[in-house]
Amino acid sequence: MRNNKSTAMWWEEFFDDSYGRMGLEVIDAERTRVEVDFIVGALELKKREWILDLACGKGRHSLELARRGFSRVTGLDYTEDYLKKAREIKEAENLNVRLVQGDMRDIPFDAEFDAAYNYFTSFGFFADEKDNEKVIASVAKALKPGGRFLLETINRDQMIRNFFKLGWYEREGEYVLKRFEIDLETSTLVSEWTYLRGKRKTVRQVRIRMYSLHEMITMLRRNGLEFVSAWGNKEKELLTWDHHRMIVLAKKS
Amino acid sequence: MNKFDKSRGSRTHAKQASGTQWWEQFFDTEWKRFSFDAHTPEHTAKQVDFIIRKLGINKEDNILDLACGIGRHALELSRRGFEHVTGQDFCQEYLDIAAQQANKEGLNTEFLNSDMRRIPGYANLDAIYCWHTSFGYFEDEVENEKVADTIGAALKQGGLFLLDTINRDWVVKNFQSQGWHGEVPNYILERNHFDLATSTHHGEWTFIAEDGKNHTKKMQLRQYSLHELIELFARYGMRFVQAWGSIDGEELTIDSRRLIILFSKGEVSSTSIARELR
Repeated sequence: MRNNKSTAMWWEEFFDDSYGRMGLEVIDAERTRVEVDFIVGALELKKREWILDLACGKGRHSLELARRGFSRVTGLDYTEDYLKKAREIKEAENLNVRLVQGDMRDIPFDAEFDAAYNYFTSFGFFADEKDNEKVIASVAKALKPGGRFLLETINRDQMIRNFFKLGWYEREGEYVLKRFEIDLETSTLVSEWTYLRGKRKTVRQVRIRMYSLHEMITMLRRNGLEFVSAWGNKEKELLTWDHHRMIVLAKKS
Repeated sequence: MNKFDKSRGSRTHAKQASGTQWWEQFFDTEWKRFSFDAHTPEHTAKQVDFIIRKLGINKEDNILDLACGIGRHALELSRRGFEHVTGQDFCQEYLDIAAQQANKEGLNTEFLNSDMRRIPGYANLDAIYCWHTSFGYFEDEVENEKVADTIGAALKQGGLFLLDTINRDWVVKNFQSQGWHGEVPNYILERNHFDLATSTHHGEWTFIAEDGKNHTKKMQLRQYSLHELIELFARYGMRFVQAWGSIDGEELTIDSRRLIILFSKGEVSSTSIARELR
């Protein structure tokens, strides 16, 4: 089993142009709209509420919320290039959204938000579990008392039940070849992504700490966030170990 | 109290646990027949070979078998000349069977009746093992952690702890809500449920007995994946050393039914183990 001993974190390198094209832009606008429908419903968002999109990437959810008249949305991400893309759309469509570069372990807000969400596997990025926990603590700090938090990520149990080692897909002549392994000592899904574009080959690594529901509940609770519900999909089916996604709703006490 | 007090006084401390926990009802003669008696002496011997090898224990070491049941492994260690072996269990009925066997064979195995969250008087031990799924009995996770705390406190610096339990990942892949096993005339019919919010297996098991007196007992077991045990024991000063998926020493995978895990309290002190790990 490999250990993450390198000084550069995988996510500092992974979220590049290739992922932007093959990981983010492959998601069509309709899917984003359906996801935003779900986020609005699950968090019971109101137009005038302060909302945080944690790890917003190119801002597909925060921009869509702004389009719908939610006027107090903040998107935070680590990758400046993605935020730049988000700002371009914001300017072009004249949307009211705040886009902030930052580290999710240290969200620069205090009791600011009525609701926060972290959507599309943007949790469990850190090799040291204490850092992942810092993200939750940081969310709790950024929320107002009674604030809601929605987390959408990999369901570890499903991954265990249906683990496969190889996968690939193609988009407009570009290929992504994925190879997976699980580091059981740390519950980390290690994936290697090989991008093939003409003669160019780029290899990147992703390391995501996976959680089963009970672990997530325990961690949220330790940080002052009470568990409310767990769903397995946007149709709000109660989570089972056969759902690919784990969607957890929690509330700050 | 001496760490190996020869008086049997501690046996009278018996059940100080409150209320009725499932395990207070579950472990009886019937379960003994289904579970312990199904192990052949050869099987037990093989497990003890593994325990000795992985703990790197010597004949004069102080060794504790945590949740020893009828003392299958503790007695076998004594038979092989290990001089200071104590078997701990909360079930007096099982301890009596173990002590009778020890007397019959002239073995000096000690037995302690206690709750596994408390092993009064035991400290500075060289090695502890807990075999055959005896961790995670308590509904409140804080209580399971107390067991880890107790183990950490009872070991000497550098002492080792070996745990054999069920691998949660295997359970996740192979869970059956109904099941049965046994053969004429004894059967267990299982109805099982797994609670994802607490990672607990809840079972309602109907025992069909020879005398026709069938009855149903409840069991529940908090189940752990490797990383959870590593994190849990780390909180009590125990360092992860290695994990295996079987007593044949196979690597642990998500398809291993068993999860066998070795911890050390601080740095490993046993030179033979250190050598093996190198």
